[in-house]
Amino acid sequence: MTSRTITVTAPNGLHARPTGDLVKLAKELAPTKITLATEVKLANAASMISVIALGLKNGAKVEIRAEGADAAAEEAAVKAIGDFILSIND
Amino acid sequence: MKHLRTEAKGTGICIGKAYVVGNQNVEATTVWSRCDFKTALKRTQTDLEALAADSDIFAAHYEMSQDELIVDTFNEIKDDFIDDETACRESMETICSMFESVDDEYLRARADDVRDVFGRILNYIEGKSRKNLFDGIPAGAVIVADNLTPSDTTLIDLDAIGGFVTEGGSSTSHVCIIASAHGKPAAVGVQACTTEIQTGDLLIVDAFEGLIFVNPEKEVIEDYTGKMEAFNHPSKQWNGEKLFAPDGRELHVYGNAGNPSDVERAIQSGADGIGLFRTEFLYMESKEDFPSEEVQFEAYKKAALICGDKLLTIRTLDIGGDKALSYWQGESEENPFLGKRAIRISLSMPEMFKTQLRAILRASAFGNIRVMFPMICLEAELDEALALLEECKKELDAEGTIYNKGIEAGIMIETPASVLIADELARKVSFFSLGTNDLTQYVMAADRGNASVARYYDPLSPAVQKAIRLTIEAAHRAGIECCMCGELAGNPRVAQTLISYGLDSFSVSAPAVTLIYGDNGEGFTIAAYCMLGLLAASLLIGLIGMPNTRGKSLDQITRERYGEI
Repeated sequence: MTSRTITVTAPNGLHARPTGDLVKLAKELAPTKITLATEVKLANAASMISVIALGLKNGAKVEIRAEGADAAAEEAAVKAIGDFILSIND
Repeated sequence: MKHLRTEAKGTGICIGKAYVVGNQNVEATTVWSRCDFKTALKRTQTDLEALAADSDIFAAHYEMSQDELIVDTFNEIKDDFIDDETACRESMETICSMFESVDDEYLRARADDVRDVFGRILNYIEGKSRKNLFDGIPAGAVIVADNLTPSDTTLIDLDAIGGFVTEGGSSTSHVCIIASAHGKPAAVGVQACTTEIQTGDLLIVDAFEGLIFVNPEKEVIEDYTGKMEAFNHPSKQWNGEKLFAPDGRELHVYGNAGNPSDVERAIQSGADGIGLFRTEFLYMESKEDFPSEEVQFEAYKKAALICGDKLLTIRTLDIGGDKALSYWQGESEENPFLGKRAIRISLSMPEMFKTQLRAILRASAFGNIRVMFPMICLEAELDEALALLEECKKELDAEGTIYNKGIEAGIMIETPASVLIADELARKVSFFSLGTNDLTQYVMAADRGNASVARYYDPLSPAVQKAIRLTIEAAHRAGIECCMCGELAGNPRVAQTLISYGLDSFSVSAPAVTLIYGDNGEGFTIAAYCMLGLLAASLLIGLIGMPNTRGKSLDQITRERYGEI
C-alpha cells in the first residue's frame, strides 16, 4: 500500500461538484483501490456518498491510500488523487 | 417595516416582491404508473445524466445516483420491507444518517443532496411528479422558501429572479452556490421566513449584512437603490484622495468585513482600511472546538496582508448567549440580548479569549492591526480585557514571538452604559467605534426585529442622536478617534450631519464605501462635501433641489419626524 497525506486547500472544501470529479478519477484508476482516511473515518474514493460523508473541509487533513497491482500503479494513483484534491480552488 | 436576520453572510443586494413557495413534497401529484426500485433508479440516472450536461451540481447528483452504495444498501435491507417504496425510504435514511449523525451544518447540507437524488427515485416508484411550484413567478421576484434543493432550483429561471430567502441551509448550501454563480443574493438560515413574509411583500435582501427588510420605508428603499447601483457598477470607485472636514480634520471611510473576501472587496472599493473585521465567522466555521490560535492567526494575517499599510480593526468575538456553536452552548437565557454576550463571554473564558488575543497580536506583525472590544459597559471589564492583552504580550515577549508592540486597542460604544462613562473609557483606549444598531436597540429599548416597536427602533430618534454626540465629544476631549460602524454610517443622507457632530471615520459595507465616498450619482457624497466645504455643499444640495428625502440632511429629517430637539 502507498499513501500520502495532504491538507485540503479548497476554500469550500470538497463540495459536491469536485467530489463528483474525484470519484470519476478514482473509478478510472481501478483496479487500484483508493481509500480516503481521516482520523475518524474511511471512505472508498469511488463512492460519491462515502467521500461526501467524510465532510472534508478547508484545512482538513486526509490520507490517500492506494492498493493496486504494483507500487508504480499505487504511487501514480496516490499522486493523481492528491494533485486533483489540491487543484480544487472553488 | 420589519427586519429578519441571519448570521449567514453572502454577497449581493436585491429589491423585489416576495414569492413564497410552500413545502414542495406536499404538492406532488400522480402522473404516471408506479415502478420498481431498479427501474426508478435507472430513470433517475437517465434524467440526471441529461441535467448533468449543464449543471455541475447535477453532474455530482448523477455521479451519486451511480454510487453502488445506493444499490448495496437497498439490496441489504429490501427483504425486511414489504415494498420497494418503504425499502427505498429506509435506504435513504440509512445513508443520510451517515451525514446526520454528526452535528455539522456542512454535512447536513450534503445530506440534502442524497435526499434530492432519492426524492427522484421515490417519485418514480410512487408514480408522482413534482408540480412546478415556480411556474408563474414574476420577473425580479424574491423566492422565499423553507428549503430549496438543487432540483427545485432547476425549475427556476435564475436570471429572471431577484434573489432567495430560505429558512434552511447555510452559506455552503447549494442555493448559495447557485445564487452566487448567477450573481443573485441569497439569505439562508432565516428563521420563520415563510410565515413572516407573505407573497407580494416588498423585500430588500442585503446578503452582505444578512438582513431582510419586509415592506421597508421609502428612505430605506432609496438607500438600497443607491447601494445596489454602487455594487453593480464598481467602476465608480473613490480615487483615494484624502478627505478633510471643513474644520481641517482628516476623515476616513473604512469597510466592514465578515471574512477575508469582504476585506478584499472593501479595499478594492477604495476604503481607507477596515473599521470592523468581525471574527465570528471563524467561530461558526469551526466545528469541534473554539478555533485554534493557528487558524485565527492565519485568517487575521491574510486580512492584514490584503490591507497592506491600511488599517485593519479586528473586533474580538461578539456572539450572543442565544447562539449555539456546535462545540459550545451558552446557558439558556430568558433575555439573551441582555444576557451573557460578546465581551462578557470572552472574559468568562479567559483562556479562549487569550487564544484570540494572541492570534491578533501575532498577526499584527504583518500589517496595521488594531484590536476592538465589543459590548463594554464597565470600566472594570475594559481593564480586565486590557490586562489579558498585556498578559498575552508578555507571553509572546517571553517566547520571542514578534508582534506590533504599539498595537492600539479600542472599544465599541453600543450600550447606554458606555456612552454615560465615555470620558472614563476614553482615557484607556485609542479609539471608539459607535455600533449604532445595538446602541439604538439598547437606548430605545426596542428590538430591531420586532415590527410592532419599529417606531422606536430608529437611529435618528433624538435620544440616539444625543448618545452619538456625547460619545464623539467624549472621544475628542480625550484626543482619540471616534468612528461609526453601524448601518447609520452607510447612509449618505446622514453623513453631513455626522461630520458636523465631529465624527472622524465611517465604517460601512463594501458597496456603501462607493456610495458614501465616491460617485453615487446623488450629487452628495462625503467627497463632494469635503471638497466644496460645508457652505458650498449645502448650496449644491439646495441648487439641485432634491425633490424627495434624498438630499435632506439628518437634521431636516429628524426635525420633520420629531420636531425641534
